[in-house]
Amino acid sequence: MSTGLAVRDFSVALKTPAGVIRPVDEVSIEVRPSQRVALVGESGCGKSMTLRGILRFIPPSVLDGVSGEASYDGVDLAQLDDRRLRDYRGRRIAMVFQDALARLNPTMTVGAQVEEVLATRDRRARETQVTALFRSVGLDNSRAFRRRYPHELSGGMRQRVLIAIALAGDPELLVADEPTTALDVTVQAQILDTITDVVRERGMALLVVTHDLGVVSETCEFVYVMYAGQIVESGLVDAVFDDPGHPYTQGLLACVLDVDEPVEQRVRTIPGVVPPPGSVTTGCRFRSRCPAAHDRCAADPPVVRLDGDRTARCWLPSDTAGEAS
Amino acid sequence: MSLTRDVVPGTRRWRTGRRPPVPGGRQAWRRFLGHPPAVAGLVILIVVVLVAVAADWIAPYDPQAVSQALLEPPSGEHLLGTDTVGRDILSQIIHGGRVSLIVALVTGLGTLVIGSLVGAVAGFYGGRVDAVLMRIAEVFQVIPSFALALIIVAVLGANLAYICAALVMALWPQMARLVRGEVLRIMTTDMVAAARTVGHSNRRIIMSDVLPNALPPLIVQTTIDLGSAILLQAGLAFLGLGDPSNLSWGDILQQAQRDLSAWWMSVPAGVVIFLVVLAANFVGDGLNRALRPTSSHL
Amino acid sequence: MLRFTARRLLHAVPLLFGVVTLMFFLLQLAPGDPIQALIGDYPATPEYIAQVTEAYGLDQPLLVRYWEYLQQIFTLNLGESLAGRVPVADLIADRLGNTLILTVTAMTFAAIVGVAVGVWAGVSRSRTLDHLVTGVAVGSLSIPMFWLGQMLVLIFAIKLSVLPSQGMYSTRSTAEGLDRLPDLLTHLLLPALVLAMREIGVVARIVRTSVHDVLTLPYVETARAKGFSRATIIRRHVVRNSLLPAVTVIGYNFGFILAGSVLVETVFGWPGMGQLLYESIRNRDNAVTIGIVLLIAVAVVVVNLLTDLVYGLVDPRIRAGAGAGGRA
Repeated sequence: MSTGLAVRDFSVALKTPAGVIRPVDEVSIEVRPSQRVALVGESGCGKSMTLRGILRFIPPSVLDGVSGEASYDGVDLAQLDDRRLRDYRGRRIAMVFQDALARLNPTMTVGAQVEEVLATRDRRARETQVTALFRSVGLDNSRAFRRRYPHELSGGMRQRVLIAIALAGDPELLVADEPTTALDVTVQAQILDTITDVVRERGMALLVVTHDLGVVSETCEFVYVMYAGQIVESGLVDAVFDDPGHPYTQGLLACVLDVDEPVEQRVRTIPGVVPPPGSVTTGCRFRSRCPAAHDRCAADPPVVRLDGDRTARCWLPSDTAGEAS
Repeated sequence: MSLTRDVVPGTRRWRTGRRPPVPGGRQAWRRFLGHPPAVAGLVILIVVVLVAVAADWIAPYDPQAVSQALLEPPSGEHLLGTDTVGRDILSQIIHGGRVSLIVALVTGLGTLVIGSLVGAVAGFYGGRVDAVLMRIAEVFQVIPSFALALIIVAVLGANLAYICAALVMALWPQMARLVRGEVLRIMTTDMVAAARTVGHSNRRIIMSDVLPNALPPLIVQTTIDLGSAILLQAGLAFLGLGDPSNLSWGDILQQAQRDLSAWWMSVPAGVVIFLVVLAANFVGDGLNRALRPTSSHL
Repeated sequence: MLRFTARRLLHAVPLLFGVVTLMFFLLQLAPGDPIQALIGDYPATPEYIAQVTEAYGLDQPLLVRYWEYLQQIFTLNLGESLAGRVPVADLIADRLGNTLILTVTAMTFAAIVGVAVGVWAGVSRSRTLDHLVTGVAVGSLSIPMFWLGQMLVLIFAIKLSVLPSQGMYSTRSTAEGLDRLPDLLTHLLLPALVLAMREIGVVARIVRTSVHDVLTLPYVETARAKGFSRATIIRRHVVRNSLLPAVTVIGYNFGFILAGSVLVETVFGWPGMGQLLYESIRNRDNAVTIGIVLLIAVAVVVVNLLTDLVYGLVDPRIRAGAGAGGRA
């Protein structure tokens, strides 16, 4: 029985000209089989780096090291040698990236880029599979279309090709890094639909990394909110969105356009920016931007279990609930 | 991109000045010194220049003086041996350096002037002027530089002036392209827009705004051209297109070709050419690192 | 692809025209009497001078002569050699094959070795290898090609006596037909190596940089996410795309090889066009000299055109995109 992706106290340290930084600091995430999970946060909060660290996509020239555990089905990915790791990539864990044009080989036809993932040696069978894959992600499955090059397709089509590539290995977990960023709003919705559809049909698990709360509510059941390298809140999407426990989540939700409000109040922002990694080492990392900041926020806030699966890393709810860890 | 871009928008103080400094002079010098091959190259070039200037005093013999000692291997008397008519090879190499350096300097300067002029005009005026000039440059470029230089010297005659002219003809298009590219880049900066608003003449904009800012890549290219000129000239001389009254290193190698077993004729002259061209390329690379720290290097 | 081809062709025609024009005016620039320039130092009788004047229409105005020159060139009439009274076109045709054997061998050699070394250096994470390739490349650009040839002759032919130093075939060889091949190859080895040396350095450096760059591109990460091994990724996704700049460099540098063959043929006594050029320079036989350089220029234009077409074949983006200008 598969247990899915389990990340515990996972940290990533990078080498920079200014010294070693930790953009990912003791992050714990779980994605059970068939579960749809989102990791959400502002740009620069470390969410992509978490993903790259788990799946070992950080070039050795900048990686200082990782600590903690990132295991799939009980196997720690960080301990695998290159050859064993490759068995996981593509076949068990597949990825969909943003910026599909750069993510596709410009000199190969899109059909060939999907086809090369397929394991079978039978050319006929491969072709049938590619056709089916193109159809399942909503692409024209004609031979002529499969022979086109990435630059000849629209942004949405390219993104669908990337999804087809990810599906070609028949993975158990689909990891999508900002899969709809840089696409038109209407196309975004279609791509999200395609992703949720194929994930549901195939009973796959999904881990979406995004800054877009709309994406979260449309595709996922469970959400982790990340801020400055830490998970600050987690829980079922509905529960978190209805009653956010952490001031940062509250701020994020308040930023979402609400068409029912008068125009001048529609767009809200959280003042300030995410502090760069390494600049805040103790206490709550959000306290410089937090409307409810207090003296005690200078000390590390506890991770508080609010109800059921929900947790928040904040002093506020700790007044009313018990500590989680 | 290059340092110039950083300097451009903010510090306008020297914009109207007549001679803006090469950006980051002292720092650039430090970067240059921090690159050992460039320093070695510079030392070699300085030594060669000194030897060429002092040729009359340090050469043991008159390079043209024939003697009874025909094709003798190196000895105490003739440190690098003698050629087929008994001339001292060492003295020929010392004097030959003059020819190579003169050709290199004149060619480098000529290429710089003609290339910059054509490139600046093409880049500045654009449109049809640009199209015509670049097409002409392409015609010159499509003939391999050595073939072009060779045919010009063959037709005009082999004397130093024609050789230099031929080399300039062979090398200018690349310089023109480079300058054109730089001009196009600089033309889009705020600085030029400001100069236009103030009503400066085209000539003034080119001379005081555009060219000085295009200087770093030009300097680098000129250094590389110096090396190319020496190589091309040696090749011409080797084919018998050297100035007969000014023997150069290439002429020695032409002599050597008659009897290659007389290694003392071919080895030293070739080594000297190789070292000098290598030095020029190293200095060029060092200047590139120094003047354009963020661009790509060798 | 058809439109792309047409566009490149349209670009090549005025270029050829320009080259011919340049050659014509170069001849006009010759010091003193143009007849003297054509005849060179060759001792000529007054009748012969009259004949040349007549043949070249040297008594006609400049523009008329230019027009006739154009007509001549485009009917492949390159004039007559003054020394041998043989049509220049025939002289060149006799030697062209030998030069092509040498240059094409050198170019193939440069392409294979250059790409191999470049990929190796680009893929390897060793800085030493990187520095070595760069060093050799700069060295090969700084070394006088003909001198390198002299040194190899000195070492392999004179000191070690393992390879021949002159010509295409041994004079003592009695072999016929295909049996002459081994003999030819031993004669070909050194000159082809010398001619290829510079391009090996250039190609290796370009490919190395290109591999470095491609390795950092996002689609390589996509390939890794597919679960491919490093070797597979390099073979399928990196090498092919890194070769694009190499195609251009190799094609565009054919001219260098051709021009370099003049020097190399002189060093190795290779009976090709370069040697003919050397002789024509010695004899001041300008008709031959100009004819050969013209041919070199035309060859460069044609090879550049072919290079563009190959590039268009390999990179689908070029033939689709690339507005009117394309690459220069």
